Parts: sequence; structure tokens; C-alpha cells
Amino acid sequence: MTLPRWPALLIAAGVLAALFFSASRIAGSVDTDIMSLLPADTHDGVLAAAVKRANEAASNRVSFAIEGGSVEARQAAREELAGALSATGWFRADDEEGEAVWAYLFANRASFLCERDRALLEAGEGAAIAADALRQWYGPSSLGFGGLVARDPLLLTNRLAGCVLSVAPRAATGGAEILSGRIRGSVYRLDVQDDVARAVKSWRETWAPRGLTLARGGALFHAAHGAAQARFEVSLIGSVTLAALLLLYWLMFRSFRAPVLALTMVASALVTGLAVTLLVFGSVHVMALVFGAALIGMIVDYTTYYLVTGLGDRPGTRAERRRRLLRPLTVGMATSVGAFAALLVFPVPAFQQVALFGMAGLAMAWAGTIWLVPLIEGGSVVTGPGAARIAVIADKGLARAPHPAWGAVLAAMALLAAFAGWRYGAVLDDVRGLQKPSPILAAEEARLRELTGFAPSTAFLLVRGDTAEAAIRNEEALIGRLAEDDRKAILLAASRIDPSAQRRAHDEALIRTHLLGPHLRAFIATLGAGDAGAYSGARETAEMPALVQSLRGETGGTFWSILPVSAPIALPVATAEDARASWSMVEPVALYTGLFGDYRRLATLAVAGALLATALLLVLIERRVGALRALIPALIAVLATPPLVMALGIPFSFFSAMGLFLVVGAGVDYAIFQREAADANSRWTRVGIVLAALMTCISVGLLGFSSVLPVRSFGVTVAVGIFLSLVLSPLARLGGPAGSNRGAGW
Amino acid sequence: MGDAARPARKAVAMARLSVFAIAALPLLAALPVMAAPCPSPKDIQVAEVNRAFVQERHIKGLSKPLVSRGELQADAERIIWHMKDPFDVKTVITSDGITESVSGGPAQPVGAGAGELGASVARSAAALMRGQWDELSSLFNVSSPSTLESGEWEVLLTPLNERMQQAVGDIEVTGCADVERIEIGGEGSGDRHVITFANAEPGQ
Repeated sequence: MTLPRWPALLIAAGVLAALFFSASRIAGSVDTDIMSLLPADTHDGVLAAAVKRANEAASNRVSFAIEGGSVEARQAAREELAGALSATGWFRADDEEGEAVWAYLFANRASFLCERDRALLEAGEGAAIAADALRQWYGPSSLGFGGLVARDPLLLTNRLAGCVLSVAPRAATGGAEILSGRIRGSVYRLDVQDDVARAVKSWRETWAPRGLTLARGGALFHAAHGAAQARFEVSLIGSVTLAALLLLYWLMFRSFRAPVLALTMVASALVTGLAVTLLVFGSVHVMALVFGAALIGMIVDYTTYYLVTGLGDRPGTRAERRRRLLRPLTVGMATSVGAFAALLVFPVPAFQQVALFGMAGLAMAWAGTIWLVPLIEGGSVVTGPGAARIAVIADKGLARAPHPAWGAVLAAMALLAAFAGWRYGAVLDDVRGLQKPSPILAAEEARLRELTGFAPSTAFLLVRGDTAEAAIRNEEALIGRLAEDDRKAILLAASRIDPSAQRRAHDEALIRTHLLGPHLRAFIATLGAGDAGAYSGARETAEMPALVQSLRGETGGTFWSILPVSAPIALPVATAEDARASWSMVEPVALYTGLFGDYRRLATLAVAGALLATALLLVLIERRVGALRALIPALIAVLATPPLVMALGIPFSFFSAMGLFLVVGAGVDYAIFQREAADANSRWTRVGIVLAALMTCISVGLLGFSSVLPVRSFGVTVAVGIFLSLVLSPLARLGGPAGSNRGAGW
Repeated sequence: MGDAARPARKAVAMARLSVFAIAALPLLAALPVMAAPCPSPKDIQVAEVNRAFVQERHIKGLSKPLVSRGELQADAERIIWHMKDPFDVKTVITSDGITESVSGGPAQPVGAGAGELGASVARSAAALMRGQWDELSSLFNVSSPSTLESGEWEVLLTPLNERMQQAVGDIEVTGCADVERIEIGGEGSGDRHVITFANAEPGQ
């Protein structure tokens, strides 16, 4: 009997297509933002969009402090840094942004007012504004005001700018040169990070030898640090895993073709997983990539299971070996895919990516093992010394079917441990504890805060409205209702730059009747200017500053705006007058922490769901309740793993719960193959299980050395869970005779 | 925005850049005091300055110059530009920013032109108020002193920053034992500012 070649060709063509697709899309598509792991809150789309916008606005800010050397050197160094960063095309200095705002305010200088000036004019004190302007004309800062004589003698633009930008951080202080600006593009894009890093590196090469130092601030640098670390860790884990794979395979099969086959299957499965993820989502989160590295351990199992069918004295033909493997591997793959499918219910793109990546990768590994591997392997494996040794160990440890009482005792102990872990174990939901910043960057940011006195806050006010105009009016109403100190806490408000039509009309009338009408003519006479028509020309226009748009949005027909604040403030209760106003204080850190807690609990429930889905699939495929025995090892492992990991000092988090999905998938596979190990090749099947578990523990266990807590917690959870699944796998044969288990039904 | 923005942009640029010139004043005023008849301006280091000034602002579009009088004080920590006539406005520039008090009232942070303007002033002031000639040279191309017919010396400061050069123009400083006159601008903006110094009189 020969194997058909067309499925193999189809699979190879699919892998090649996936490879080209992934290669063409991967650049700039890797997301390293931990916030992407957070759910797009399905309960409140406006809140989710506002938080996302606030994050973008905050994360796109970068600032630098240049210290050391002479003033001249610092100024030249600042110019050079600004030039190099601007040349990347990603950086826009605040100087440029400030000019755009100024141009806009100039065009609208007689159209709206600061809160302070509105109060003055409403009180009929326009003379105070005129007197202040006259003093400014004589004062030292009026050196460059000449151009304003004809257009804005009352210096209304200056007054507006003073309100709008009053909270801007100091541009320089304490002998340091400060450069700040905005990154135009996602700071999580690797190409953006690399371009900025190159500019900074080049600057340092030039200026560090001259005694200048640079302190950096901004999410971009943390993201770059995280990405570099992730890249390093992924490549390290991948490299060590592959090295271990080569060594183990040679020891097991005395074949170099075997590890090459395994590597080919790993690469094919990962490329397929990546391509499908990129195709569906357009990007891939670094968490999915790290998970991909961990998935190597599961993918390589499939090839291993096929290769071990070639061990022993009577391996049989390729077709016979494939036939022996087809059913258990298909059931194992189906149950694992089912377990990962449970992740799709999460409204978290990054975890949906993990699910899709895992499902596609496992499906490809299965198809390749069934259709491609038998053709390429060619019966080249022989029983190596490693296989013989593992067979002896496996015979001692895994061959016997334990007494049912053992199963009950272990299950009871696992339940007890799970309860103890739930009751007394440490959990971690605080987003600040999940991502440890680079100590170097943290120190540089602390220095920047010290120099500029500007402590960024992630808190903001969220104002909503049924229409764009209503949202602006609501924002104005809110600001109007705040106490003076609370008003000062508002760092930026779009309505102060682009007020409502109602407010604009009101202000224009105030300016006309209480300032220009009674005071302009006398003012320009005092100043010695020759024309009183400075504010009576055609209506001037200017492009709306990008700043305004960055603070406003619309989600599902609701218009909203965000007002960053320096600290949380007490909000007034909406009165009948502003009955339709809707405002709230949003503190993303608290929000994220709450959400992480919610999703940790939900993920734990989802693991239970995955076990349930697996149970249903087993019963459906096997058509008998006895098939559920295959679930016992994974069930006990899932119960016992979290308390054990907590005992190792790693708190239980959302990411630990995610690791349990892999435990369910692989654990059920081991059980299925344990139940299959009933014929003459049974001892080699057990060798396959041990080898598979060993590979998974090595590859995923290495994640336990990651500096990123979510990754570390994921890795250790999987490694412990897989180990437990392996040693408990004989429980899958509960009730069957020792050493003979065909009665289980495969 | 087109032409309408031009005056505003220019004003911003000038306001921003002119602070360099303002900040330079105390140092210039502190320069010469040494040997008679007129010592080289670069030979002097003065830690503190206390000078009366008269400022004339010849601004294009105004029929008459804006004349103000007051007192300039400066030390390593701060610059105080105290205009006493026609208004009583005390402007204090430190490395932390600018405050202004009117008619002896409480000092208020200056927000006009945004913190950016104040920060620019503070930046220049912080550097210049260390009283080092090198610091002045970092902002301007400083000519060698030339001797006028009157025997006084004259130093020409050309802003290193091209935009400042366009907006403000050159700065001429003349004096003998002290800085006596500073003239800012002329070519770039069309505006001209002349500050003349005298020794501060008690109670002035």
C-alpha cells in the first residue's frame, strides 16, 4: 500500500504560501504593548476607545534632557538631536506644534476667551485687559511684538495661549536642555523604535565623549526595551529548544533526518500559525510570538509520536505506522484545538491571536505529521540509546495502571491544594506589577521629572454627548462647575481651543461689547497705533491643531472628549440644567487592574470550559463515557499546578490561567497516547509521551527565566502542569489491567 | 492660514528668540569696569549688577516710541527687570521660570505666550547669569571690541540662531567703564530697541 502524494504537495504549497505571506507582512506588525493584552471593554465602547486614545496620546510623548558640558555644547547637541529625530520622519517637536496652536489662536483671537477673561468681561472689566496689554507693550517680553501692532494690539493671542498652554512642562531648567515632542506613529512599531534608537545612538556617539548625558522619557523607550528583551528571549528560547531537540532526537533515533523533519514541521506549523494570525488580525502581539516559541514543544510532539512508531523490532510499513497514529493523533489534535478555541471567546485581540496561532499551528502539525512526514522520513530511524533508556524509565514509571483508589486520593489532594491556593495563595492583577520597567529608563525618567517638574498622569476626565456640539457643551459645563483648584488640575481641554458655537457666539459678543467697543480706540491712541480696525477684518481661518482632534472621538454614535488631569478630582453632580451631560473620572491604572482581576477569574473559568469542551469532544468521538478517563490527568494537573507555582513564589495571574490551556491540551494528548499504548509497540508509545513532555518542559520551562512576569508565570505554569500531566498520565488507564489497556477503547 | 498667520508666526518666533537678547542684558551691563579710560569689555567679571535703565521701543506702526524707565538687577540666581515708569511692573526671571508683579502686588507666573516663552527666557537666563563670557558666546557671535571716535568701545552681537537673526537682527553694545547703551534690531523686524544705562541711584 502506497501513500498518496497530493496531500503532501498541497501541504507543502500551503506552507510556502504562508512563509511568503508572513515574510511580506511581519515587518512593523509586531505589537509589544502590554495594554493590547487588555480587553476592548465590551461593556462600554466609549470608555474603551477613550482609554485607548488617552494611552496613545500619553504613549506618543517623548522627552529628552541633555546635561553636562557647556551651555553652547548643550544647545548645539539639542539642535542636533532635534534634527536627527525629525529626519526619521516620526518625531515632531513641541516647538512646531506650539506654532500651529499659536497660528490657530491668532486666527481666533477675537472669537473666544479664557475662563479668566470671560469672567472679567462678564463683570464689565474690559479695561483691565486693555491695561494689562499696555503694560506688556512696555515690558521686557514684548521685544518681538512689533508684528502685532496692526493685527492684535490688545495681545489677545498671548492671553489665549497663556490659558491653553499654561501647564506645559518647562522647556529648560537647571542647566539642562529639554527637548520634547510627539511620535507620529505607533511607538510599539519596531521600525519606529529602531529609527529613533538609531538617532539617539548616533547622538550619543557624538556627544557622550564630550561629557554630555541624555535622559530619555516616554513609552517608546520602554516599548523598545521590552521588544529587544522579547526578541532576545524568543531567540534564546528557540535556540536552546532547537539544540535540545537535535540532541535528544539523535540520542533517541540515531538519525539526523529525524530532527530535520521535526524542525521542518515546527517551522511549518509556526509559519502557518503566524500567517493565519497576520491574515486575520493584520498584526501579531509579541505574546502570541512567545506563545509560538512555547508551542514548539507541542508541535514537535506530533512528529515524535510518528517517529516512535518506527522504533522496536517490528515497526511496520509507513502506511501501517500512519494508520496506528491517525486516530490518537487526530483526537489529540481535535481536543487541543478545542481547548484553544475556548480562548476565542475572550474580547482580547492578543489572546484571540494566541488561540488562532495555536489552532492553526497544531492543525498544520497534525496534517504534516499524517501526510508529509511519512513520505520524507523514509523509515530511517533506529532505536537509539536514549530511546532504550527512556523506555526502561517509562516502563517503571508509566506502564502500570494504578489502582482506582490512587486516582481518588490524588484528585482529593489536588482539590485540597487548589482550595489552599485559592484561599491563601498570592494573586497579581496590578498592571504596574506585571511589567517591570528597565531600571536605567526608570532612573532617566525620574531625572526628567526632577528637571521639568512635570509628573505625567494617566488619569483623565471623560465627557460624552449625543452630538459633537453637545459633547463640547458638556465639557464646557463641566469645567464651569469645577472649583478653581480642580480647574487648574485640567492639563488640556479641547473646548478651551475649540469651544462650542454657543460659547463662541457668547464670547464674541463679550469681546465686542465689553472690550473692543469701549476700549480699543482709546487703547490704540495711547499706544500710538494708527488704526482701530485690527479686529474688524474678514474672518480669519487656521487649521485646527492636531492637539484638539487627539482629545476627541466618536464611538457608536456617542461623541466624547478626554481632559487629561494632573490628579484625580471630585466631579460635580449633573444638575437639571446639564441633565444630558455625562462625565466621569477615569483612572486607567485602576481600570486595568480591575480588568486584569476580572479576566483572571474569567480565564480560570475558561480553563474549566476548555476541559468541558475536551470532555464533550472525547465523548462524541469515543461515544462512551469511559473516554473521560483521558481527562483525569489533565484535570488533576490543572487543579494542582496553580498552588504549586504559587509556592514557587510566582503569584497567580491572568497569564498563569492562560498557561493552563496548554496544560489541558498537552495533558489530554499524553492520556490519549497512554490509553493507546496497548499493543506490541506500547513501550515505544510511552517513550514518545516522555520525549514529548520533556521537550515541552524544556522549551516552555525556559520561559520561566524571562524577565517579563506574564511570560515567566506562563512558562512556569505550563512546565509544572506538563510535568504533572506526564507523571499522572497512567491515571488515564484507571480500571484497565496493568500493562494492557486496549480495553480503554481506542 | 496663509498670510494671516505670518504676523503671528513672526511674533512667536521673535518673542521666543528675543529672550536671548533680554537675558544677555545683565551680563553686558556687567562687563566693563576696569581700567581707565575705556577698558576692554572682556576683562571684567561682575557678580552683581544694579543699573538704572531707560528703554525706547521704536516699533513699526507706532507713531511714537514706547519709553520706559526702571532698574535692572541681576546676580547668579535671577534677573529682575523692574519697570517703574510708566507702569510699576517687576519681572523676575529665574531658571524656574518668570513671575510678574504689578504695582507691588503678588508675583504671578507669566503664562502669556505660553510656558514656552518663559521657559526660553529661563533657559537663556540660567546660562547667562553664571556670568561667563563663554556663555554669551554660545548665543551670539561676539565681535572684537572696536573703538569709537568718542573713545568708547562697541561690540556687535550677531545671533547664532538664524531665525533669531532674521527676527531680531544684530545687537550693538557700547560703553566705556560700563555698558551704556544697547541697541537691538533694526534690519530684521523693522523694530528698534534702545536701552541706555546709568548707575542706579538710591531710591530710584
